[in-house]
Amino acid sequence: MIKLAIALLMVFVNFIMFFLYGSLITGRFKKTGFSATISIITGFFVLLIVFDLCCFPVMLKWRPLSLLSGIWLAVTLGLCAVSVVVNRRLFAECFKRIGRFIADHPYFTAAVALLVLAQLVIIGLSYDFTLDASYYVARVTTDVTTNTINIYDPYTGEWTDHFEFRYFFSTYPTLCAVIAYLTGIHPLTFMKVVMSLTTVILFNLLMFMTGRELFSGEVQKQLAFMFFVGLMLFFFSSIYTPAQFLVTRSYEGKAILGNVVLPFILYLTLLIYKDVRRTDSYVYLFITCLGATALSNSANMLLPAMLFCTLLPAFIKFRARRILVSACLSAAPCIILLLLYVAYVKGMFVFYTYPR
Amino acid sequence: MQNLSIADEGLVYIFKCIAEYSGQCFYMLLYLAALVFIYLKADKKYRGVFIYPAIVAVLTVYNPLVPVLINLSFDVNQEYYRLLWISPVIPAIAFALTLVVFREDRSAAAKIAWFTAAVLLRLGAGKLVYSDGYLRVHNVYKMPQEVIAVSEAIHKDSERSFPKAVCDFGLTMQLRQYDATILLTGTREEYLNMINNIEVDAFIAEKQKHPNRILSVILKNEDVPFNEFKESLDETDTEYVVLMEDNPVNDYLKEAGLKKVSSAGGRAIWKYESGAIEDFEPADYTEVWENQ
Repeated sequence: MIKLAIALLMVFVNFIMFFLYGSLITGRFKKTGFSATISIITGFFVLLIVFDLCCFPVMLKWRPLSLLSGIWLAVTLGLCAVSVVVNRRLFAECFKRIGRFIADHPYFTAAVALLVLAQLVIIGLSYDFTLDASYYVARVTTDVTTNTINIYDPYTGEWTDHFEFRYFFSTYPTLCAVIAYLTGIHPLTFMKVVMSLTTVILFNLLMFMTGRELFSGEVQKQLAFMFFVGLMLFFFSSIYTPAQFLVTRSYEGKAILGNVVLPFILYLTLLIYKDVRRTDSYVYLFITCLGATALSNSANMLLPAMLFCTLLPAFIKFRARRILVSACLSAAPCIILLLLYVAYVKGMFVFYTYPR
Repeated sequence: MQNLSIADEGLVYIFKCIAEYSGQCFYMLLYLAALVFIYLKADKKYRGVFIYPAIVAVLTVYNPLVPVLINLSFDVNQEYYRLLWISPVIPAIAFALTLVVFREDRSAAAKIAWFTAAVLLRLGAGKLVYSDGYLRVHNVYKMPQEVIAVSEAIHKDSERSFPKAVCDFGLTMQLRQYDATILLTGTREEYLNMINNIEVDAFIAEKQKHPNRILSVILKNEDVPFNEFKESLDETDTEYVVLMEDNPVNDYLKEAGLKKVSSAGGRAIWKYESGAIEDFEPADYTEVWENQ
């Protein structure tokens, strides 16, 4: 019971981290107004980017997970402290605004909370067997157990002589290993409870934001929208749909890609259509695409396609060069990583797990 | 998608891919209907978010030529379906249904009736993800108790810090998620290749000779001579074999001279005692770090 309570507390801590990380960016755009929801979603991707910066030098020097954990903890505490200091006024105003909204719409708030809670309970209490977990979860458990980063094969536990490049830039499992190591939460619990619930809440937060934009804050419609979305999650089930990924394997990077990254790009497209000159949308777009490369190798294929399909029509409509520049800049990290992967597959280079 | 090949299906691939992707659900059709509704009835400003991207997607991702052309340079057989994720099926349908329910000319009773109809449409168009049964977890690890029981039983018996085992497929896929101090003989690919009778090239076959020999016994009950089976256990440093209690291979293991040391999680745990099994030593990078 204590273990479960700690895991649930960690979900809350996750959101505080995302909020503080995101506020470092969102708090700088004074003209558009500070948004807690955008800060949380953006913060998740900022966190992934910062983690990447900490992770690669440590991993490529074959240093232990404990060292990476120490570095990342110091960086995170520092950045969160900076965020609190520089954004404290924004936070105070924001919390007051949220309080007012809840006071003005108590039934809507309660209904949304119930809707999300129902999803969390159903997904959180369900058992599901997926083959991919034998890699993604075992990778986290292996790293924590051996105090290493990607050195051992998650399937067997044997030492591997090179980093598997397909997963090299997907540092999200390593981030999970680091937090599991720091908190002492079993990696399996961290992945299947903490990250699973975190992803479901992030998804609902995005649907809340999307509904608010689509229905201009009409809460009744927004609630109906969220209800339909929530219902469909459990019924659009083949083993390939993002909904199925969210319901059965929400802790995986692919599930986050399909259910957080892509809907957030859709949401940002809504913002761009609302005001094409809003600079922050483009910045969030870039941060999202860069951060998403840490989630799954699939992001490198999906995000350029998504950007092309959503922003090409916007560019044709508005003829705004900033849309084109933003789309190219956002797709660039994915395309570079894709090309690197192709070069690796063609045998042009390899990263060994020992000095040669 | 495991069962579809772009090279074999050609221009038909994308249609079969969409069919597989949809499963027994009609949500892709509902998505199409939602797009038509949004185009005709919703404010024009939403076309940029839902309609125009869908048109570009039809010309690219859903274009039958595109997977065929990409497949000439890259193998995307397993991943192409993920490109369908870029279509916002769930938000688009939810948006359209909300617009239908909340049309301005409707009374409160009509809204409730339309809302109910929309819910029923949703339910009817899909398949409940738990239609084969809802399995509840019983611990904070979201892992069957059997896995935990086997892990504890092996550690109780073994004197090694990193004991090595070979298990049935289900257990193999789960054991190291819970306990990474137990090493396993056989990767996921080796298991799947053995179960699905997939031939591998000669180089890989030679490399995987010993794991495959063990897997051929425990997965297919092949009659491998005892000395060869034991040789493979030695070569792979496998100390334990874990199989379901009712698995007929248990008789083979007994005859081969393995000792049943425990029963846990509905499984028999067999120990192979041999002086040839070496202890697993984690890689030591201390010297490397000192020289960096």
